[in-house]
Amino acid sequence: MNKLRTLRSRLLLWVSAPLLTLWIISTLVDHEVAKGFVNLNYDRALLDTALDLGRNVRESNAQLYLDLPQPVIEMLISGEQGRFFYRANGPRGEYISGDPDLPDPPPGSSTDRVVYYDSTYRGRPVRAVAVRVPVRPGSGKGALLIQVAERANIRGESARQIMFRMMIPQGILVLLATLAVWFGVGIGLRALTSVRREIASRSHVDLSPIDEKGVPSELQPLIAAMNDLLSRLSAALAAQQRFIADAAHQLRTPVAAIKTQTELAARQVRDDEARAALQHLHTAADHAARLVSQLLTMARAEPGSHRSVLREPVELSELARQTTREWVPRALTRSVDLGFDDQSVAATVSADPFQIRELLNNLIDNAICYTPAGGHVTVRVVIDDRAAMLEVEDNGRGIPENEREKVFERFYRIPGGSPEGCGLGLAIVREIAQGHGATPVISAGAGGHGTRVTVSFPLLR
Amino acid sequence: MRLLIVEDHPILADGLINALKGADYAVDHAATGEEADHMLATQNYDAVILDIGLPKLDGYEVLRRMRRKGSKTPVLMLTARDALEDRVKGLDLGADDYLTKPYDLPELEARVRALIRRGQSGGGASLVHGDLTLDTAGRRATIKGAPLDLSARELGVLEVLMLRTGRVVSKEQLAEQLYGWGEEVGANAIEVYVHRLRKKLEAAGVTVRTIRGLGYLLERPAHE
Repeated sequence: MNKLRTLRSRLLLWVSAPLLTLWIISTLVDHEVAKGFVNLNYDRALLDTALDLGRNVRESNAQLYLDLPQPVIEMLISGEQGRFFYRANGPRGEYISGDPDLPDPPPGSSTDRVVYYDSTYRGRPVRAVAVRVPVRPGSGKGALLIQVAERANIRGESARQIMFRMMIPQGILVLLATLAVWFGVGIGLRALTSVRREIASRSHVDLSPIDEKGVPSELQPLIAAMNDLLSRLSAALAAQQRFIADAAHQLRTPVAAIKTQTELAARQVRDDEARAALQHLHTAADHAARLVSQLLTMARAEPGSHRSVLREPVELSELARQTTREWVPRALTRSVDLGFDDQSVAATVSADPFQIRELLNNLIDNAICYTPAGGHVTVRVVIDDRAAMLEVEDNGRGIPENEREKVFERFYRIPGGSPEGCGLGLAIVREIAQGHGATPVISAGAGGHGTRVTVSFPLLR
Repeated sequence: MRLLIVEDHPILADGLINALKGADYAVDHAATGEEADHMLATQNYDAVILDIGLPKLDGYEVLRRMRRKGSKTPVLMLTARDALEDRVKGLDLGADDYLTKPYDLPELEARVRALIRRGQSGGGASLVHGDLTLDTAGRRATIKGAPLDLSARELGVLEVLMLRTGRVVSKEQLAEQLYGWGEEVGANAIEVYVHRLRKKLEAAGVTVRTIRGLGYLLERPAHE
């Protein structure tokens, strides 16, 4: 049944099944037609034989007898294997010559004319003709009754042979038609390949309509329906993202209010315990703020956002340097030494510069967050033959090998890790990287300590 | 010093007012764009902290009206949006600085101080960094009033660092600044100037950090 899922087997079934049926019906019809022809011709030959016999009846001393030439006799009298049987009767029904027990024509049939009939002779089916021939035309001496019978199986054999000869070329035609469908479908479906390629080469964030140009008109309704779905999907996703973005924006003001008020309170309070509590409150508000920013970034990086497929040549090294520079003040507040590797090389990739900046923001933010005071975080860009690799390395406590895949999941926390978790940081990194045909990979940092996240982008040539 | 805070969220506004009053500013508050527009028309301010997302008359419109009337009062825009387009729009309309919510209070206070200083000096005659003062016109630096012995190039480096306090300054930026005075300066020379400058500033508790692969950063004074 599974095979019927392909268009080719369906078409093949729907073309070959009726053709086969037609072939069988046509063969049966052919057989009937052939039988008719064979009967007509054999009956005529039978009649000729009977008339020939009638012409050879002689009269001698008022006695009728059959004067047959030797070859005719040999033809007629061939015993058990003989094809023909005959009997000649006189005008009064007296026996003249031939097989006396040859069956009579069916009763009631008029004998003034030629009568064909089927019967059985010596236990086998025969076809016979009975004809009345005048003893001598115009003599008024009445008519002879000549009967000639022939084995019926000869006719069946002939009809079958004719049928077979017609059946074979027709069968070949059916086979050729089937083959034509098989290959024709393959050739016809090549038009789908270009559409398939276009869809396959798309990034998952690209929900723009599929190009209908060059597509056969039969496929156009399908493409149109697909494009309609894409546009509805895109609208739905955009609406969802607008909601997330609006919600995130709305959250920012109250979070700002909490932060401002707690900081203010911490300044005014003299009690150390109360100050510590306020400090915790402030830290929590910071996490909330970070999460809100990440939600916004996520909403922008996901499919359906209006700027999700911007691609332009981006010099990765310069962008990384600028972005790292912006994070230095933040790193200093946590006593983390954030730096940029001087050995980084220029590498141009095709990307959305805003998203790559966000990707790096999240990598650096994450590294700073997981590196204890006094630790180092280094950003670098290295290249090989095919790829430009953006790396962020820290000498923090590292991520165990079995956790390295999971940390890219949203809100995943390493067991026993910091209570604030990664939030959406690495999920955003993965989302943006995938949108650019890149995959982030986590390994250990230099000397097996800490964490190194590498994102490889295909080099632009 | 008189400041106007335009912010519709009452608790945030209250926090800002108290923080800035605590820093000895006179603070007025407007909760709507119309109110802000009216107050700006009747009172002179040294700086305005302006939220973009206001009901009816938004922050952009308040700023547009201010600048149309020829007001040069420095404006710090606050926004819940961090999209680059929004930032550019604010700066194009004549905002002097920009902060995304939620911000750290010290950061906001530092930006407000910088804004007021810029507004007062009208091009900046002197830069202040804790006990350190740089007179850019007279080309001399003092610590608690006592003159600091700095070469012209060291002064040049210090000026760039002070103008970007708390932010990274690359060697290229420093070289460019010195080159502007008609001298070609290599990266090695910059390292030497920074090294000397750092030693001379140490006594005043002013720290110039080296940021790996990126350049230098003048740390914010601890008590600010």
